[in-house]
Amino acid sequence: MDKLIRMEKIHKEFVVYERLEGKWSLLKGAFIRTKKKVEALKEMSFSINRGELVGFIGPNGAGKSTTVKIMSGILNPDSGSCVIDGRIPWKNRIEHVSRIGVVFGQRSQLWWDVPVKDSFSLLKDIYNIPNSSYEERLYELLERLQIRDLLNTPARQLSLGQRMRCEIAAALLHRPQILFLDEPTIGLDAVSKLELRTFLKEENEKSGVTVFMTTHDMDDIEAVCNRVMVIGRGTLLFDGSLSDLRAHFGSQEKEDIDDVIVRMYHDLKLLT
Amino acid sequence: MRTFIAYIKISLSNQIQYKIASYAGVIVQFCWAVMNILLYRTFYLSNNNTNMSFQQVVSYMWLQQAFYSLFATWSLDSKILNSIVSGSVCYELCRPMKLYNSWFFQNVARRIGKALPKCIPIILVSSILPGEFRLRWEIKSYEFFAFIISMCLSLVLVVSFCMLIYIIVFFIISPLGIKMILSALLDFMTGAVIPLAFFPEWMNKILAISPFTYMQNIPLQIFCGSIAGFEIIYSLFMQTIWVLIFILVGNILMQKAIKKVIVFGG
Repeated sequence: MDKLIRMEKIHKEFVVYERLEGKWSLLKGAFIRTKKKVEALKEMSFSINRGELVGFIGPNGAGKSTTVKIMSGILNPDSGSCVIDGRIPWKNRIEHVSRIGVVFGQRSQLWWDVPVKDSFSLLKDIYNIPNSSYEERLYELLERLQIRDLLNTPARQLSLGQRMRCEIAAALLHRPQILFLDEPTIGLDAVSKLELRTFLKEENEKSGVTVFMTTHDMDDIEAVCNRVMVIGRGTLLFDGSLSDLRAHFGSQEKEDIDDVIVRMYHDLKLLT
Repeated sequence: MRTFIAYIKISLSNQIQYKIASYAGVIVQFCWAVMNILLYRTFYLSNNNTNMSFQQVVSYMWLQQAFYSLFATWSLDSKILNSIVSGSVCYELCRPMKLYNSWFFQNVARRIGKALPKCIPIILVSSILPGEFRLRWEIKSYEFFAFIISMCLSLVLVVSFCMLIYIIVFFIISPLGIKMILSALLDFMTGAVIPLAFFPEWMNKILAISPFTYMQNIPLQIFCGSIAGFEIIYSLFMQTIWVLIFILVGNILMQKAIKKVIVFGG
């Protein structure tokens, strides 16, 4: 199999400043601060094949976003190696990022005050997409994501569902090989979620894009992904298909997937 | 270059999105210039012992207000500051472009986008005003050429200076304090409050070795004719030197900032 992403023993620590506890802490805090090291990722290793649809789950603060940020070249890990399509994301950042698409569900890459189409044409020039290729791709995405009517609307006037479809289009304009999605369905209504999932699945079949998404919504995983990875306290705890996961942690045949996840988090002592 | 033009397009589009704000901006700048000119007229009526003639001051004021957005040092891009504070800067880091260049382009583009709709009406109107309130085009062709070059250098100088501030905000997160210090201090030192020609000799000597003299004072004085001949060449040279220094320091600091970048949550 063609390994597209190879992560080996990636380690990342953050320093967090804390206020002292107890009496006079507020006053003391004005002069002294205590450092605390937080291990966001501990020797994280995995590999992903070309064309896979991978779901990445874990409780809040498990290290999901950190992993995505390392793979998209934003963060430097403290140690370990990561090679994506022959490149090290944080070292060959510019070559690397021109071949990936990224969507952070809680942030926006569209210009807030201008019509969506202006943001798109800015991206066209940033990624240096040739005219003909851009027109063709834009037309395709507009049709499939049903955002043709939104093109002239400023991003600030879009609903969250509409905006997220535009964000996805923005991330795919330059035909990336890998699409990183960090909680893309957060806050979306049922219809928007379903449409988004169908689209991702289709896009993967059509263009062979590798999709790596973090989420808290198990239905996302069930509908889109053929592989699921569970992360907790910075380490990889499970890697396999969703049915494996069910077999491992489920108690009954038709148990709700969310219940399985809750049991798994408990079993693995991930919840404090 | 293509990306730069794309940024200019989107910045203009961004400005035009708020039409009333643009119109209001023109009126504010126009009134401000008139007020300033009236003020200086009173000074000149009582005492005319300065390096600049009243006509030169009038031209200085009109140009200053026309190109206000181009050179205002304190006018930091809130989009960039917010992206640092909120963490949206991670999108910027996912683009096939150096963050320094991307911010630099955005800033130059934003200033041009803001200044264009303002400077054209102000220059047109002030050029046809009656009598001593008129903007005088008494500039020689080579001086005009120097004026244009000096304008570009000033713009790049102001932006490369602002870049240092954005990068510092990267380390300290809150932009508030630094913004306040700047708006008070720099407006004064760049000649935005009073033309530097009115400053006492000793202060000008000190300012002459700082980069601030070269930010908006030079192009405006070239236009008014209060800097001429060899002094023009020297000023252009100093502007270039400061631009190079700021860009170099900015790039070094940016490298450090990016290595340290931490984007929590989401």
